[in-house]
Amino acid sequence: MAQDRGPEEFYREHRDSLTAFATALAARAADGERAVRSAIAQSYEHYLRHRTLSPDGCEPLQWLVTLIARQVAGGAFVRRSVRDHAIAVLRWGHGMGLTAIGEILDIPLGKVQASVNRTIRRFGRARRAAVGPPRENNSECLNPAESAAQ
Amino acid sequence: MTYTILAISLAVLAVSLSLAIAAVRAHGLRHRRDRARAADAAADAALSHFYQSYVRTIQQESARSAALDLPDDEWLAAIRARAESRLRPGPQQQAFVGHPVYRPATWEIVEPASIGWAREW
Repeated sequence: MAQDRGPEEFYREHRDSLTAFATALAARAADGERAVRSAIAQSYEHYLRHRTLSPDGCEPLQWLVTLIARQVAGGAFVRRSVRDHAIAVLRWGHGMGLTAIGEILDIPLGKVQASVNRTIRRFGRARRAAVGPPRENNSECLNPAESAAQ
Repeated sequence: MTYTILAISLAVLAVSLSLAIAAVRAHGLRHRRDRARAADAAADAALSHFYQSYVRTIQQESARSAALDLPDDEWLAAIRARAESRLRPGPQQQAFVGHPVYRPATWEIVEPASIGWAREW
C-alpha cells in the first residue's frame, strides 16, 4: 500500500504520469507542472497532519488526479476555453463519463454537457471549413489531374 | 343530400390532406434528426481519435523531457518545504491567533480554533 512506503517514494513513482496528465489537461507544460506541484504539496500537507496520503475512503492517486483536475479547470474563474479543453481531454482522451467529469471537477452536469456540445459544434465547424460542404455528386471526387486529362 | 355528400367528401379530403402533410413533416423531422445523430456520432469518433492521440503524444513528450526537468530530490524538497510552511501560521496570521477573524468567503465570524492552521498552532 502507498501509505506504508512513505509519501516521497509514492510521489516520485507517479511524478511522470501525473505531469503528463496535468500537461494534457492544461495544454501548457508550465501550467501542468504548477498544478502537479500544488496538488502534491496539498497531499503532503495532508500526510504531515494525518499520516495518510489521502482522506478516508479515497484512493491516494485518485485524490491527486482530482486535485490536479480541479486546479486546472475546476475553479469559478477558469476561462471557458481552458475548461472546455480539459473536459474534452477527460471525455475523449481518457474516456470518462459526463457525470464522473462533473464530480472530478466539482461542476454541475449541465455545464459539462454544454461544454461537450460546444466542443462538438466547434469541431464540426472546423471540419466543414477544412473539408467544405458535403458533396452530392461523386464525380467531383475525381483526382483533378485525371479530370484535366479527360 | 348532395350537399351532405359534398361536405363529407370535403371533410374526408381535408383530413387526408392534413394527415399526409403531418406524415411528410414527421418524415422530414426524423430524417433531420437521424442526420444530426449520425453527424454527432462521426464527430464523437473523430474527437476520440484526436484526443487519444493527443494524450499519447503528451505522455511521450513528457517522458522525453523528464530528464531535463528538476531532479526528483530537489523537486520533492521544494514541495516538502511548501507543505510544511502551510502548517505554520505566518507573521500576519500570528497577529490574529486568539482573536475572532472574518472568513472572506462567507463573511461570517469564526473562532480561530476552526481554521486549519490555528487548530494546528
